[in-house]
Amino acid sequence: MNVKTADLELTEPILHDELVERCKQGDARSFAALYQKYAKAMYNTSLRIVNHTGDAEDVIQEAFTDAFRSLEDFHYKSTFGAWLKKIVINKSINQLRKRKMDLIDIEKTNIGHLPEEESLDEREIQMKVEDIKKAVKLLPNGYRTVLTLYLFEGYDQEEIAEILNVTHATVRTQYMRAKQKLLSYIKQGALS
Amino acid sequence: MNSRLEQFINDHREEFDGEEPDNKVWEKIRKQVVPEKKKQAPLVRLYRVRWSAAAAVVLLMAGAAWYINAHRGNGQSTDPVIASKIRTLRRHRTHPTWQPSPPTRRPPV
Repeated sequence: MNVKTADLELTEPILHDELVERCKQGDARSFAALYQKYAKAMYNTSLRIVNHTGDAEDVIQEAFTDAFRSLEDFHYKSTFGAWLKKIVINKSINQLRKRKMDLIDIEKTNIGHLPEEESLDEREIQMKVEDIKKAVKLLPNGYRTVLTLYLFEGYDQEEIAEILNVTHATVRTQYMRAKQKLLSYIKQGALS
Repeated sequence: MNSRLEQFINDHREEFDGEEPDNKVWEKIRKQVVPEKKKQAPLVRLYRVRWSAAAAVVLLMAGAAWYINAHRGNGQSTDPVIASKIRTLRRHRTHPTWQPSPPTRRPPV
């Protein structure tokens, strides 16, 4: 999965070197251009994790400010977009933690216990962008974080484990359960 | 693990990024990043140097234009006295033997 994202990110440095370089030289117009280029994608990434428009705006404001101020630490080991996204994701997770939100939902759901055999057949479910968007918003914080990092941001489970500082097994279980919950919401038309 | 859900989200990835941040976000970033006093100082100085250079050029050109107009004009000075003097001087220059007052010298008969 996420072949598309990977392809895009590989071709990006060629296109963006100059803009980033002009920012490194302190050119005000290039800062604005770089913001315009990435603001929307970064805002949506953050919004899917923090689930709150005001918090997501705070996150991207801090992320862009930090990124612009530490451009000399950016050495094209990844694309600028990937570097910035990592900052946005870390800040989004910190924002959730600040609000004392639990990032691991496994214990809670063990009580309700969602047996694996009951897993929904994806082929029977009608997929709609709007329903999926609504369903993502309904997920508990931990599930939502793991699921969006995997499905929307293209991180693999090892990378997510590293970001959240948990084991790979935890991420795998969290993702499987998050996906089941998401599918059940989508099946119900995201409870509209 | 390439499920239908994963495939669907990949195929419609752009449509999931529909929300827009408020414009005030950029304003806040700009205030913190762009007008940093330390970084602004050399820029301002540079602009000042450029402006005075531009002003000097304009002044020089204006002065030169005035000088040319006043001293090498084609007898087109707006002042009639100066204009007639210029005409006289020019005639004198092209015909050095010509004198403005005829009584001092008569042409040969």
